Amino acid sequence: MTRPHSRRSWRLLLVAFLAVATLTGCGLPQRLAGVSPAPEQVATVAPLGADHATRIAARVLDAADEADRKSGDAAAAARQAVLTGTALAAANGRVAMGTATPSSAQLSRPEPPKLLAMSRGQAFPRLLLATNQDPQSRRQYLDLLVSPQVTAPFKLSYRVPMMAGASLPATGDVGRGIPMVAADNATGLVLSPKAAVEGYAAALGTPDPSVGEHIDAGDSFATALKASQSTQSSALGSLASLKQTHTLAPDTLYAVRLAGGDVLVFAQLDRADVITASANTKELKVPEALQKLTGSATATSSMTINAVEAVALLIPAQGKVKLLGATDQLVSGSVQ
Amino acid sequence: MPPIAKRTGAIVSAVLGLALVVGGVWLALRVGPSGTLTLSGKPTADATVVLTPQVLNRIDSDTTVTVTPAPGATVWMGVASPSDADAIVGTSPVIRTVGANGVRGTLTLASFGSGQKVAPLAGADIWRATATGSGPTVLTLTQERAPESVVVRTDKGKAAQVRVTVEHKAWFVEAILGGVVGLVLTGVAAFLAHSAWPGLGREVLGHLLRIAGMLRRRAS
Repeated sequence: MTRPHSRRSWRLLLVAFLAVATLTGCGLPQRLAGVSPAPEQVATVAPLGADHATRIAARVLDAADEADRKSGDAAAAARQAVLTGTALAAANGRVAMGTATPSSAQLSRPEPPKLLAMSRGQAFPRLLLATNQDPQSRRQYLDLLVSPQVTAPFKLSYRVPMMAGASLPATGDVGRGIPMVAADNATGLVLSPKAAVEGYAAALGTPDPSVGEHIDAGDSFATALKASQSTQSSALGSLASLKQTHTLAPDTLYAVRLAGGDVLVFAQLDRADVITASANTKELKVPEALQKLTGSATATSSMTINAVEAVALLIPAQGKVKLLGATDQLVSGSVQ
Repeated sequence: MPPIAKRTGAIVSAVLGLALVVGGVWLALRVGPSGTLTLSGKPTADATVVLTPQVLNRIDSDTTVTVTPAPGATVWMGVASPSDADAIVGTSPVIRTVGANGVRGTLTLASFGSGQKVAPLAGADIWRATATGSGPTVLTLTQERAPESVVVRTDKGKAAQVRVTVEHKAWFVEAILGGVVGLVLTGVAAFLAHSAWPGLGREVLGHLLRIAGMLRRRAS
């Protein structure tokens, strides 16, 4: 029979053991001290915080505005520092044309940008998608900022005014990021981004536009182009012929999948207007406004005017590819 | 309860109890009432320093990084995600924290990479926060966006000292509690010892008194 004194001793020993076990058990001291392994980095979210990304967008767009207001060598350096790709080509084109002014609609940013989305993941290039509105014209702009590699800061690559009545589908939670889509990836889409842009470009050309079954070319940008083509052709009459081509510029396409599965594509189309004199025409007179680009007032056989077109297209899972926004800028010219 | 169990219990309790008392007192003195632990290291080469999450993000408390440049030099520091920090330093010469010794209060630094230091870092858009200074320069990480790395660059020579300070108030309280539990265990050990060796107390006391007497006689 166990004596009460012995039972008490056993209990005391048990309490002591439990106390010791509690304090020294497997990993417990570390947990009591609040020490734990460093958390793993999550690679499937946006690479930057929303506030951080918003500050970057505001900084870049402010700098782009400032660069647009400068002139001379300082302006060229400022543009180079903050613009890239299509936005830089368009800004340089405005300078070449002498149309860059402090009030330029291309790069004026009167209201702070609203960050819409970031590309998902830690890889480069990284994208920031922002929007803002011109308070005077009430026109909405889509801005795409690109950081091509870890050492390179974000620069403005596209600034596209949205078509009247166009709306961008939901982009989802900024912090989650939106995945980038490869140019030839048509998963869940009526067309791959590259095919969509090339299809839209083919629909804009003259004299033989080709409108694919998945392309909606009835937007105001395409309509205005066609009207301009028609006006030019009529004006040229039998003196010359107009051929206009639109070509996807290499390495300019960025595509991101929105929350609902649609894909937003930014791309640069290189437009070439080639006016060829007919056999009976002695020379072509270059319009005064274009002489800065061609460097000549006349052409004996042909005149080529090049422009960059920044387009933002929406590729759905079903239906037709639609233009969300577009802008163009004459950049160069030549005569023969 | 068999005497052997009591004796075993007494010895185990005594060892653990004394260990907790000593450890608790040491930790309380080490971190102080504010619960602050400081780890420091001195880079041995002129290279970019990367403080990794293994040092910065182990405690769910604010962590402060203080870098002191050499006299006349300027230090630049930036916080980024670990993958971005690794990507921007690439294979250039880098000194990384690979561990820390809380007892000695030191950062374990190791050299990696070779060639030239990477181009200027500040222009990249990966930095969540930056700081620049010609004296001790401080950046604080709140753990909200852990894991994070801190990249340190000096314009002239190596950084004189890199210090990481973590403030975790619970440490002091836990040190005191540990000491108290240690005291309780020591008491339990004394009780069990008294129970297992009924005459042990008198015997020990007698030995102690005899030793004291001998010492007194020698002294006189």
